Amino acid sequence: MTIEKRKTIDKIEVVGDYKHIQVRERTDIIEDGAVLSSSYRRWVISPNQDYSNEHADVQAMCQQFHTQEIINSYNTMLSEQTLEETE
Amino acid sequence: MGGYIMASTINADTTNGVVVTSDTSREIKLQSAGADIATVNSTGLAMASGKDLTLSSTALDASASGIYLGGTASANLLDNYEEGSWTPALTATTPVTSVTYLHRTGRYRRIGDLVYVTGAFQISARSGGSGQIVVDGLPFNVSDELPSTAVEANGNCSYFGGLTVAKSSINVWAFGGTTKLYFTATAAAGSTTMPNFNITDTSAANFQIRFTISYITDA
Repeated sequence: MTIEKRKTIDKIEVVGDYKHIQVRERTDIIEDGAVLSSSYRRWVISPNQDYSNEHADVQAMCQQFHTQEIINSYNTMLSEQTLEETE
Repeated sequence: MGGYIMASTINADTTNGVVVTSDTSREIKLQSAGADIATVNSTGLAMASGKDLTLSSTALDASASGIYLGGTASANLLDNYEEGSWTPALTATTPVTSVTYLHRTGRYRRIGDLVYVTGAFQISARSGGSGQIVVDGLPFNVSDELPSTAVEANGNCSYFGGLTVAKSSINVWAFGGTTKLYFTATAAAGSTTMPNFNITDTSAANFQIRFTISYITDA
């Protein structure tokens, strides 16, 4: 009997006007080739975020979609948000 | 050998079983005691009024398109459900340089474009950082739906500890267009405004917090 824990990036999505890259990691627990259970973990890469430590496929998506134009547009949107600073 | 079954009932009892209707209607009906249970035709499978579709040992796979509830407009389409984990990361408006966690965990449920998250962590060491407490790493981007404000959704903290400044309650809000949560805190003596919850209000050695929030994400 062999039990294996396998992690894979099973979904990479490009979402919204600012091309946020949504990443889903799937973890499978496998016994003798049969999947006993699986679970997901998620995170998001924003346009102005460092992605050098991401999986190569995620990096490729970031390079394609996080252009300087998108980054500038995203940073402009953030700067225009009101923080409701009250203190 | 192929062939056609003309309008007929596949059962000795003519009011039960599979009824194959004439070629012009091109329907197959399942009946019981003379009443329709379900009909299959060119538009699909339709359950008769008052009859339920029950799946006892397998799941309904609607992953390719979703399920309409309460109508058939796009606003009635439920096309996403997912549950999993995320990793909350403590930082501040001027980011912290390092954090050591005793524990941290985050869970999420996504139903359509509504995301419900819980998070909890306790730190044993922190360095750097100033300004308002920020937790980064939400599993889905916070949709920027409300104009002229970054505050897109609000939640609360069910537990906190390791503060250096007394607070009576701590709340959390989601920053539109990001994966960040910001925190506010009411002073022990109360407040007429909603003051920020700052990183300097917490101990660098044992700050801990647990929180929940629901927000809308981009479809």
